Amino acid sequence: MASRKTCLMVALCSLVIIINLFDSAQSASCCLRYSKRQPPCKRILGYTIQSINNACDINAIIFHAPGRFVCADPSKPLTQKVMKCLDEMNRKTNNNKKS
Amino acid sequence: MPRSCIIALVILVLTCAGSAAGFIIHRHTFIYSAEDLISNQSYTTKMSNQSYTTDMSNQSYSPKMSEDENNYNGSDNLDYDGFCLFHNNQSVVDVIGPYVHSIICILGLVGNSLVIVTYAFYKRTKSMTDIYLFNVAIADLLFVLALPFIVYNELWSWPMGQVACKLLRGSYSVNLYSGLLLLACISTDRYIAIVQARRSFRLRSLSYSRIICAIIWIFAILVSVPTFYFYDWYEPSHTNSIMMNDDNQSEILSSEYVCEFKFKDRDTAMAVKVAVPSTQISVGFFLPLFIMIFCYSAIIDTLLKAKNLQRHRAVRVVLVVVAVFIICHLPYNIVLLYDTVTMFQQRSCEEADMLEMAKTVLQTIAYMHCCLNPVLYAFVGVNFRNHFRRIFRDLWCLGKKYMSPRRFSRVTSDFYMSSTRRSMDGSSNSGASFTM
Repeated sequence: MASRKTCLMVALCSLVIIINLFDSAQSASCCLRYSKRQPPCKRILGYTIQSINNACDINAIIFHAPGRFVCADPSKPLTQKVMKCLDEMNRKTNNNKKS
Repeated sequence: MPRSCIIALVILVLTCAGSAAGFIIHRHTFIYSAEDLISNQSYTTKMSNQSYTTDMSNQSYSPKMSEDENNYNGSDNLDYDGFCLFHNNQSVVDVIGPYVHSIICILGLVGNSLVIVTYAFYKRTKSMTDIYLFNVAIADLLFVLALPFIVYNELWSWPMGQVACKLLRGSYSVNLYSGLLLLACISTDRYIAIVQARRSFRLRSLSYSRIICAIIWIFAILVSVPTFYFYDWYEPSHTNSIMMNDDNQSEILSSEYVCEFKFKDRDTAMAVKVAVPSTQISVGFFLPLFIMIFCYSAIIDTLLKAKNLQRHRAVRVVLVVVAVFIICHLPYNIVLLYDTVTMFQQRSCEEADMLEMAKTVLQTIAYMHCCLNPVLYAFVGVNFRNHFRRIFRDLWCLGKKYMSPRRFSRVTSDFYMSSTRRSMDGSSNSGASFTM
């Protein structure tokens, strides 16, 4: 009876240790609401579109500012202006690279 | 009469769920106006739906910009920007994922495989409940077997790929539905046996129960088809790697995969995102709950009328069965319902993080139910316990053959004595047992 208990304990401990060796990864993160402030176009490194078609539950534009993600409402004109500005900048830098 | 009641209940719950889902979808399509839809399409077509980063090497920061930066650094709180990393939930997942789930996994594995072994080798299935219990044990065992893989993949950003993603999510759903609906079937079988005792000979045939089990498994698979179909293994377009970089380089470095919903268009997205949890709440919780409450309250009523002292134990067992079901599943389903109702609204990070954390913890409590089923349904019966003791005795004898008899003989005989004594005790009070 005692051997069975020790067996179970050993199995449990080894399982815990094995699992503990793994490093955990971050789970999916999302924009949950729209930021009240929007960083100016020059300060933004890029942007990502968060779509309701994936895991997140609201549509949003994620602006990548240094050290932070800023969520913006895609339907707002200001957001679209900033996106256009970023597209322009991106095109310019691409052209510079080619030439 | 009971059948028609059950069918009526099924229809009622399904319509409730359907209308709730419809209402939610309708409301949210209303919130997202046509203008939003147009703008949505315009940017997705323009952007080819992928993320990109502008090259920072050519840019220099002017003093004015650093002032801006100071302005921004005033709010270190990410929530201000609306972006949420779910830190609290993540730390809870890190604890619950490995430790609690491994305990659930081991307990469930031991309990349910003992039930299956007992039915397979020792106890001949005599009643409908036996067949249902066997199927519940299979569903729980499959669930428990899938659990470590799910935990491993969630901790390690799904290294096992697309097939594992669909299979694990799907099998989780199938086992959830089949397990809970089979528990409802057990309650109806007990109801027929006790309350409708006259009809029980006609209704409680083994071939019926096999057909019902088959129907339930097929139904569980059909209900899980959206889960199989819409869960996808993909790399989310934005990652957290940008947060870790100290320099101004913004790169999408990591290749973190997730196993989440993925849809082609927003209408399916909204419909399925609401329909899947609402089906889980209605068919996977409220339907079995109502059936169990109806059947067991009728059973308790009949038992109390019998005025037999031995029946008190039966009443207690029934109450425990229902109470455990409610304690395990009600909190999780309430949180799930709240989450579903407020799904497409803007939330604060704290609130959403709390909600996710509650979901993680309560889901684990719901998982525990599959370890408790063998105890609540199988080992409660003295008949079953006697069969179960025989397994241990046989295992012991088998072990004795292979081990050196000189060393273990005395221990074995002691154990053998005590086990036979106990089994005799067990048979003597079997009259007071809960065998239905």
